Amino acid sequence: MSMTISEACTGCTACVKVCPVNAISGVRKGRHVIDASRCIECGACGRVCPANAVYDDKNKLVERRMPRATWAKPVFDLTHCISCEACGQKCPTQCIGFSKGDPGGLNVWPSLVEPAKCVSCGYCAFYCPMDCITIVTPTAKGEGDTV
Amino acid sequence: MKTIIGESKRYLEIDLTSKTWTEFSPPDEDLHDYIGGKGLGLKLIHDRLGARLAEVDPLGPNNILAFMMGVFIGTGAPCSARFAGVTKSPLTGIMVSSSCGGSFGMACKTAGWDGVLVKGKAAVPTVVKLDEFGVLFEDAGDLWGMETGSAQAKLVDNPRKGALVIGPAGENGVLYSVIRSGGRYLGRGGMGTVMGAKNLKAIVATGMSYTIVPAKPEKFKLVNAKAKKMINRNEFVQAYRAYGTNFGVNSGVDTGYAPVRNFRDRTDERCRNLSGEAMVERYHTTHASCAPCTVLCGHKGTYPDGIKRHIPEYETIGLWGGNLMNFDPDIIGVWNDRLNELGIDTISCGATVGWAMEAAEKGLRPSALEFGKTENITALLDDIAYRRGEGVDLALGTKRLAQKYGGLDFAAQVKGLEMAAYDPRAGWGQGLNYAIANRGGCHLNAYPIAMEAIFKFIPQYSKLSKVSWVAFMEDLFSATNSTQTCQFTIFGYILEPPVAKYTPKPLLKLAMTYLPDVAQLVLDWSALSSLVAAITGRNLGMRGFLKCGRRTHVLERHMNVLCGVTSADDTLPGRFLNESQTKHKDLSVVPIGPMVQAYYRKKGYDEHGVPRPQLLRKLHITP
Repeated sequence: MSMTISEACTGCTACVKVCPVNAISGVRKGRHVIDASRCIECGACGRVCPANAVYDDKNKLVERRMPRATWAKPVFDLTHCISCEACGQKCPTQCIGFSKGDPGGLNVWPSLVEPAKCVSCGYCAFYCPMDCITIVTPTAKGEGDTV
Repeated sequence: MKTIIGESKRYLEIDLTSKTWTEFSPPDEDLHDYIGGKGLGLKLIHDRLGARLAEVDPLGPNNILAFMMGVFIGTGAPCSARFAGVTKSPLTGIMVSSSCGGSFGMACKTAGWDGVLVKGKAAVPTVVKLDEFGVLFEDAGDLWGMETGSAQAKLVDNPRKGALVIGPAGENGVLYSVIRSGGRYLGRGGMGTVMGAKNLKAIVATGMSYTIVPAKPEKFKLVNAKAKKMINRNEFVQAYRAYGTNFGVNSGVDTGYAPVRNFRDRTDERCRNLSGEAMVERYHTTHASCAPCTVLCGHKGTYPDGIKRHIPEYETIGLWGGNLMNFDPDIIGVWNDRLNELGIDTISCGATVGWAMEAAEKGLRPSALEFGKTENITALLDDIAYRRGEGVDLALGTKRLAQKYGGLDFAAQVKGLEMAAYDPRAGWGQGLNYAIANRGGCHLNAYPIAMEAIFKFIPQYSKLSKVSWVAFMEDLFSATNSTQTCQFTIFGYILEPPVAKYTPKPLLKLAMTYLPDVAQLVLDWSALSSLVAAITGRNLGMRGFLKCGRRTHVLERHMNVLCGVTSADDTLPGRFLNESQTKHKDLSVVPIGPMVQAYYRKKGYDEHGVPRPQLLRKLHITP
């Protein structure tokens, strides 16, 4: 299944630029289409769409959410982290980086080094073997709602 | 995303000759009896080939290559990135199964397919692409001839995808070539060769169309958390995590299981240069795991030439290190990368090169290869993969070479499959394990060397309790390989429950040595059976789970007997039966004859190693 673009599309190409897997094609000012075999259902296209033209696999409108700072992001609870690096390995936008934990040791701790690149796909949380990652929408107070 | 409760029970059967595919579901009794993974793969091949198994040419169109996803993948269970490959091996002529991590398993399972059977032979080099809707056959084009890394990079251009690819070695019929998935390999017995003979360069799956939800989510949550805790706090898992599989190098030098000079010497102090401890310091390693993984045995590090490489695993270090009298870890890292790119099994190839060195020394076969000489090896690897020069011969493996030139006594192989890097004279259980393992000289059949020399639960040089532990552990490992999770998790699952954890170690040792059957009765591996129950809804119980393993193991033996295995094959090369004098202080040869006979009795085989008809009926293998 994948996201779909409705007739409301104005061909602004905002979605093409944000798609992390190059699944969207189309000409400027023409209706765009999403390649279902490439789409990872992150919904980034819908969140940037000014025409409210993107629907998810349950045919529900993906609401525009700008600026990108308000998008859901992974929050790392490092208490149980085992430094397997699965989150970074599987991140389609390479926005997760690792810093050496203890000097001389093997441990590296993940963090969101490039939050501007994160598309809230949730691959990091899916592959985390220790359930250390939750995808949280930031709120105005600086706290978060778990998605 | 759509959801699958437990398993999709949908399997693909692909015929490359006619470029067609069908979908089928195995009966529920088979899923109950064989769980999934390796067990079900063997059963499906047995159902299709049955009595014809002996005639099937492993490299012909009739051989079936099965990739089985098992039940753990995609659920978030510990170490659930693994899947199984099963086929008839061109190297040994008997059944071979292999467990592999990497990205293909997750992609295939979340595309809605629990397994893929491939038969026939494509007319031209082909790539098979599968997704939730079915299968596409495409011309391999430029991909044919490409090395594994570049072919994979070209095919896997999306995070939803995972691929199985072969390298030049598989295409050119090197008998011990591998199939690559991500950074992991279906390594043993020449599975890549079977794929190459079918003119199949790669299978690419596009997954993430389904989420896998356990049948009993609440129970799963509890059991999963408990299982992860057990793995996480286990001291052996900690050792794997810190030093990788190479943590075994130092104890190999101490206890004498290190393969040195084509398995002649058993020990050499210089091997310590290659230990996990030395690697951590030398390469500043960090983890490189199959995702998701909880054990983290894989490591990567920066080599002196500035390139980041995967640290070779213990077997590679053993067979390309001490076995060739080479004690330079840097060059092994380079060879390891090259072998992976070419798609060659590092274990079989290392043992073959070791044999060629000794054969040259003994004047049996002229060769430029010499113990301790590393300059000509790098070029040799390409020669083997492309079958040029000396590589034409070496691509055949040790058994065929020894049959051609003589020197079977020092060919480190059983049934044609080269031994892994454990000298069986250091643990008689390991000797028995090599002799009777279904796929040949396989260390992972029961892995008794861990209990004998690494953890030291049972004495090394004694027949006491060995038969019992080998028979028990191989059943447990067969069952584990049918769920498809990592075999290393077993240490956590059986050593962490209170009964094993809080029994004082001397008492545990006594019980394991003198009362192995009682020790097996009180051991607890319920974490595994509970995970299977929570995911599939089929409540097997701990004993039922073990019985599934026994069934799988006996079925594999039954199929091997159909392929022509006899009790004469259940032995070790002469070196391990006659040469007690080595560089190690302990004198030992493996008393294999009586141990094998006792093992047959324990398993319910007759004196020729054939499973008795009543055993086959009791285990529902035959009606």
